[in-house]
Amino acid sequence: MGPLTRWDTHEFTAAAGTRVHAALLGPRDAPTVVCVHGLGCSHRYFLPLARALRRDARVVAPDLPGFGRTRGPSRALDVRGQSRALADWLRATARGGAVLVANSTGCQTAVDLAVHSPELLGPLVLVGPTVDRRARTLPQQVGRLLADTPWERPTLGPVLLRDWAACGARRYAATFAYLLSDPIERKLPHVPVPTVVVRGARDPVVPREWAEEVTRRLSAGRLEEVPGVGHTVNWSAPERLARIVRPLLAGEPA
Amino acid sequence: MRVRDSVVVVTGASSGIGRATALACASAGAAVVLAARRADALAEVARECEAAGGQALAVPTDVTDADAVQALARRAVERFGRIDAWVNCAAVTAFAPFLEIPLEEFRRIIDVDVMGYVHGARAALPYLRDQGKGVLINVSSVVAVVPQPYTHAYSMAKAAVRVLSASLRQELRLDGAKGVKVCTVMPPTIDTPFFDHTANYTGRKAKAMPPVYSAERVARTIVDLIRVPRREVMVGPMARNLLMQSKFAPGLAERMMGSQVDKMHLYRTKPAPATSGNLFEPAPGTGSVSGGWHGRRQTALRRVASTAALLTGGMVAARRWGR
Repeated sequence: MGPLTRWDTHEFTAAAGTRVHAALLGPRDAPTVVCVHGLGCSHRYFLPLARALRRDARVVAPDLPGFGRTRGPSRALDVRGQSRALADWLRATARGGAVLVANSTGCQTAVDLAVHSPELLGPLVLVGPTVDRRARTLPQQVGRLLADTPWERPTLGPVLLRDWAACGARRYAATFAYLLSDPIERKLPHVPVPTVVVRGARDPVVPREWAEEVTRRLSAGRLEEVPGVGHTVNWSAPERLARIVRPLLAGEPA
Repeated sequence: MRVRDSVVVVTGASSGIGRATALACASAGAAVVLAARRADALAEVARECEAAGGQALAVPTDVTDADAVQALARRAVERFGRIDAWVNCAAVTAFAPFLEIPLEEFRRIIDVDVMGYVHGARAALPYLRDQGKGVLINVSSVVAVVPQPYTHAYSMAKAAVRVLSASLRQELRLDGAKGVKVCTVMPPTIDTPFFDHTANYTGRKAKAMPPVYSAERVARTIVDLIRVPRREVMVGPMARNLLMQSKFAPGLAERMMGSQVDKMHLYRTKPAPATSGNLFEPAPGTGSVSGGWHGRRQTALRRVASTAALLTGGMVAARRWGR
């Protein structure tokens, strides 16, 4: 393995009633970017983004309880449980106010932070925010995820399989149910920070209509489309995403 | 449960099986919390664990102090966020005729070997139950199955530990705490400094009674139990043999163990002064896994010998058959 196929270090923090694992890459003194993964995923699928940002940012990708390398409670956490765990970890590691990049259902976790711990939010990047208000049923979502597969790079497959094995079918299903019933649109107006909504132009999970609605409901939102890619922009177009994140590091307006 | 990224607390981690277990867990990628009386020995083990690739936290603890054991659990959770496995391993012993061991030393052994485990279980279980998942591993001994003369307190304690595990298993089951497992490990004679640390009033030096196995072998069993918990595990074929003997010929097993201890567990020629060993004061030094009884070599020799015996037997049988 070359130096660019691995994270620099791994960090473990006693937080949220467990031992939270986070993977780190980038210079110590650079501004921090915290990545929040989606359902069944982990820090692993943020590696390409971390690599793209390796000169400009210290990318920190924590695993939420029950996912990746962080052990979870025996019962799955709901959205509030996850966002409180994230808040606890942000406080324990003093990373509140860092740029947050969330993918897919990680966006629900990040947005839920705005409800109970808005002071922890820094500039926010919502990559493929879920779940489309008009399709909040399991068959619709599964159908859309299947329709998304041709637009993902095949290399994502092994990464996701490994993460799914780590979280297990029961936790996956239980978390999925919580995520489907999460009214993200009602929380969006409470997000007090500049936010960029990023949508892969081919993403069937987040249709343009829904991305526009999400952007509209934000108090300071802006929509960016990345042409030619699907739902997991951080894996399939990391350079494009890095270009969107970089200006936020310098504190430029979103 | 995966051992990698888990948090394992080990009592008695300064030497012998506890130390080997801590090292095995650390090299499997676990964060280990080390408890024993000797701070300097623990610091040494912590260094070894970190070199093996795990994080380590040394918490000098006397397991007879219930508050100290509670504090140990708290420290573990403060530092590493959770407890996935708790290994009760701290134990002491004495070799002495029943009427000659000072009563307070008898009490001390029960205190360390039984109450120490009780304190450990009481400290660990609230966390394990809160998480809904976790393993409590109690290191007992084959002497819980076939007791020995001259080590009454130790044999009693090890039997008590086995019963404690079973009782806790039942209680957890009744309470519906399905994810919390309690396991008993029953090793035979293990090559550890245990026999040099022992209190002794027999006038004869104690030695490791053959067959001797390495502490690493028990450590492997414990790591396997964290992965896949089982009720009770005997370590090595001799322990399994003894279990069978005790079931089918209990009287014979008892008599054989008695004379075995007299012949093989205590030197006939090497005298030993009366000592309370490490009962009240820990042994000096930074501790070690092995006690110099060549556990690994002995196991290898036994394997070679039994393979040779089997082969010879096979060849003889084949010749007879062929004729």
